[in-house]
Amino acid sequence: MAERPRLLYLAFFFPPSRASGVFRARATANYFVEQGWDVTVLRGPDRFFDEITGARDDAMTATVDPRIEVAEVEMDYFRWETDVRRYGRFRGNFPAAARNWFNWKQDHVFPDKYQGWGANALREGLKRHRRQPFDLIVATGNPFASFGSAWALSKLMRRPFVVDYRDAWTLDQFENADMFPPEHPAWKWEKRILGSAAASLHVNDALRVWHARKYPEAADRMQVVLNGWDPDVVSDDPPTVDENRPLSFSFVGTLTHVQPIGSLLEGYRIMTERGAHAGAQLDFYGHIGFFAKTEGELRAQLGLDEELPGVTVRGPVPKPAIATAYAASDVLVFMTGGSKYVTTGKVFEYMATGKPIVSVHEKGCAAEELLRGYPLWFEPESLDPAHVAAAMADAGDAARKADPDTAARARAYAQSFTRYAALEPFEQWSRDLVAKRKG
Amino acid sequence: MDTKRSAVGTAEREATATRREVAVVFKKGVLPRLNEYLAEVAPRGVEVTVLVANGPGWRKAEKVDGRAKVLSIGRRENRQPGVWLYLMVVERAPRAVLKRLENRLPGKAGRAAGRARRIHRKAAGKLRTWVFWPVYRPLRPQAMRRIAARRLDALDLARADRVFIVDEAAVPFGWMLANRFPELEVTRLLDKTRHEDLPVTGPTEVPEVRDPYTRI
Repeated sequence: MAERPRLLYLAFFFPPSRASGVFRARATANYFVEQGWDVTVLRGPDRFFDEITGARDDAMTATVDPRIEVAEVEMDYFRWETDVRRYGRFRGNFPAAARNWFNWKQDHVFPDKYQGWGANALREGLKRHRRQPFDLIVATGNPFASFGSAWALSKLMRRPFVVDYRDAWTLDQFENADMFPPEHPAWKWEKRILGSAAASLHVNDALRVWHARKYPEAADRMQVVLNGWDPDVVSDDPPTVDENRPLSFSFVGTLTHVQPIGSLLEGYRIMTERGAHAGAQLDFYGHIGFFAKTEGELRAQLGLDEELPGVTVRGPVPKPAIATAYAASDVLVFMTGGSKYVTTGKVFEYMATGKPIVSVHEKGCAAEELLRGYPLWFEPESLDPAHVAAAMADAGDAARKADPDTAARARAYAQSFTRYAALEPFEQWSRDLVAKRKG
Repeated sequence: MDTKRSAVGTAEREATATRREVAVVFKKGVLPRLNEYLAEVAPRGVEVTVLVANGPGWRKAEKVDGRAKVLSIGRRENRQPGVWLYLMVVERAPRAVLKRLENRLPGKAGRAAGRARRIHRKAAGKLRTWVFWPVYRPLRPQAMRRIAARRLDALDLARADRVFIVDEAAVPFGWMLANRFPELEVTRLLDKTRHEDLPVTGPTEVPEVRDPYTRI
């Protein structure tokens, strides 16, 4: 029997974290192990998920293939620590010097506040490699300290490495502008990393093109690995429609300040005032913000701190139970602060349900490319609330009509966008790369 | 001592049920943030004692919200030998002499003294920025820690639920408190939502207080 190729996967956000990037990391690890790889994941520490982000979902851990070896790697909490008792002697007595030292490391070692985790992941990776060598290193960012660690590990272990950009590092995807000033060390590091990476993965073609323009010497090693939907999370069974119940328009996902929630709330109000779909509800499933500590503030910013007729914030739903939220919804609201660089993983889940989707985002969002082929997509002319209201009403009509053929076509279209379908070419490429290296 | 603080603190808190916090501020730049916090919690009946080190450089600082009890160690800071000597030799004494000369000398000599006073004022400002602060700033947190540590009784930590270390300069003092009182919460986080469960019972307007500082 051939020896199983060994993958070292650096994924800070990995279950039990419930961060939005976890699903891609989980699918990558699960898919590789199913395809016959030995997978070792180095993830962030529990304390970070418990206390700093407050975003932990233990149910997620059960969905990780038990054959995957997951190691929790410690980090330093310099940027996040608020409990003075936990400060070390140096920081406790000389806080300014400690800050200067931290900043110096950001400028001269690696420009990422998760740098401490990256350094520990490097040590842990090396230790494990000495015990049993790895064949390939894959790092997913953010945090981008994992890219730095993968680069260093590759040099020390003489193994190829791949960087997976779940988000862009040096591009502000929402503002379409550079994230850092020209002299910032992130540029130097990105160039260095892409210069020696065996491949870089991007979640859509617009991002690949942006990186290819910025780093033409690495352009031929850039690949697109789309996000996708997880069959264990979303059921693709045909939806059942109860004609008597009022329609439910649902947003499922994490609410953030970049989403045009004002247009949605106003559009919903206009739609109901016009008498379209009497009694229709607008439900929000999911967390408000990525950090539990800022939830209250963000809720007020979004205008959800007061009671709005017909609007219900249903709160977070554990991922394994998310199918219940989709089942209770008739129309899905795809709301993102997106630009041409933002796809969001949610759009794939939405399509998998086979239900009408109404878009609430600026024109030109990367997700439009995908939604264009989906037969139950309703796109308002603009973010003007009247246009949003009209699109919502049309989507509501489609939900009421529940044409089984259209729904079947919608689900068939979504079938090509599972996570595993997206990962298949990359896994094959990785296998070939390792086989070629082994000769 | 620690156990005593904890036991006394718990008993008193249970008896009074008033929430009490201590905030430590050694840098004036954080005062707007502190005042925002006070504006949120003071009307809800939370008692906040603020310890400020309003020494050199605080003349134009924002005033602390009048609903908080403010204890000042600014004068103690100014009386530290190094600080006092510098301020006296470089700023106060020459200023006083030149001012007196300007007022008392007639004609040309008086005008020259006035010019010298203005030049001195500018030079003293530059010296303070480029010489005094670069030397004193790194030493200040430790100096303030020592001064504040001798005045713990005034803070009445036995009745405090937590201590906020609002700025970096106050960290050594906070770290000392955290180590000396293991039961005491010492945090950098000014969380405005912490007391949202309390109803607003007090006035929401900030009262006018001419000199809110009690020197300790």
